[in-house]
Amino acid sequence: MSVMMNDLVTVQRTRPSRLRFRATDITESNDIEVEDLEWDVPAGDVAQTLAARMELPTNVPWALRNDQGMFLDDTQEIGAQIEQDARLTLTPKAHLG
Amino acid sequence: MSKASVPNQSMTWSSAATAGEPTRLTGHCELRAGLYPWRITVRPNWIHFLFDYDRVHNKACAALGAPGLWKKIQSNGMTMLARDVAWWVLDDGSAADEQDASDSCHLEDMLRWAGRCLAGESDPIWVPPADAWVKEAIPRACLTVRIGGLLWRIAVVSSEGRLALRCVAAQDIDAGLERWRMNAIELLAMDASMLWGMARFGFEEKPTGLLLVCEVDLTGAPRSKALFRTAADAVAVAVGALLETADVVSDARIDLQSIGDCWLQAQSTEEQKGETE
Repeated sequence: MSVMMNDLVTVQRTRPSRLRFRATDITESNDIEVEDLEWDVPAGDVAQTLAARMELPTNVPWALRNDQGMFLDDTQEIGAQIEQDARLTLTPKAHLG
Repeated sequence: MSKASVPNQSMTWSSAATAGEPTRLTGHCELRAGLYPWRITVRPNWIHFLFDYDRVHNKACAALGAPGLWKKIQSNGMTMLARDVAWWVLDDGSAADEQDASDSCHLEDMLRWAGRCLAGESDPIWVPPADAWVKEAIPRACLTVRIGGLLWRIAVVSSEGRLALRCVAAQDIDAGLERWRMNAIELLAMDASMLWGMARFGFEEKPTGLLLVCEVDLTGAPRSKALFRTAADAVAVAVGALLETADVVSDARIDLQSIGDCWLQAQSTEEQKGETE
């Protein structure tokens, strides 16, 4: 039996079943440990979920940045973009001008 | 052939409502499948096939992991075997030339599939659709359930001879959880099975505890993108409806003494009633 995954990630049975990482918001007022998410959920959904957990407004779009400042691709699976125990920052998608 | 009167290898279908197109079926009609009286309830968006669960020989057809859409529900105090068909996945023949031929399906095919699953038979020539077809039928965005701070992925389980959509609704449930909590989770699952079309729930044992799983098993299903997409939506809606409540009730660290007391009180009343009778 196989579980169909999306194109970027192949199923790695050796890795833990759940992803674990630490997330803070841009102001560092919230710092949470996340260890219940699946590897193949889109990063955009993860960002909105973290906003809800941090009790931040969920009617605005959020994005995730890794510890090198790069934005994760909302549409791609988070497991393809970060390693276990990564540190992420939740950032509002602000468009100026 | 009438769309409501379809001969089947394992059983004979007959209907009092044999008049033509399914859109003309109204109210209730009785079908007979073997020795079982059927009831079909036609609602604006769904057709529900129901019959008395206790009289079904192959009860395994409603179990988690069984091929097809049969499920066990409680309806008006009775345990029923149920199967739901959404109107919008059915081909009404009105716009056949304009639609993608693989988009909708015929009621006859749905009934044959239902009959095979009920009899525990499989279609020897059925194979799961290709991954690319499934991805086209079910966009990625439809495979995520996000409610508040909870996020789950609907897995497309594909193997030789099987295709199912599954989503965990509650995980790591301690098998030693207080009885009232387990009872509440079972009630939530039963309620969701009854309220939401196609989706069925069941428990799976894992080393870390019990999983409450919601699935729509499409093994043997007619190849219809509308059906597959509806299946994904059915899982998402059913899981979304109970996700937060199941998460709270299954967490023993959250004190819900008042609910526990109510349950114990109800149990005690039931017991007293039983003793008097």
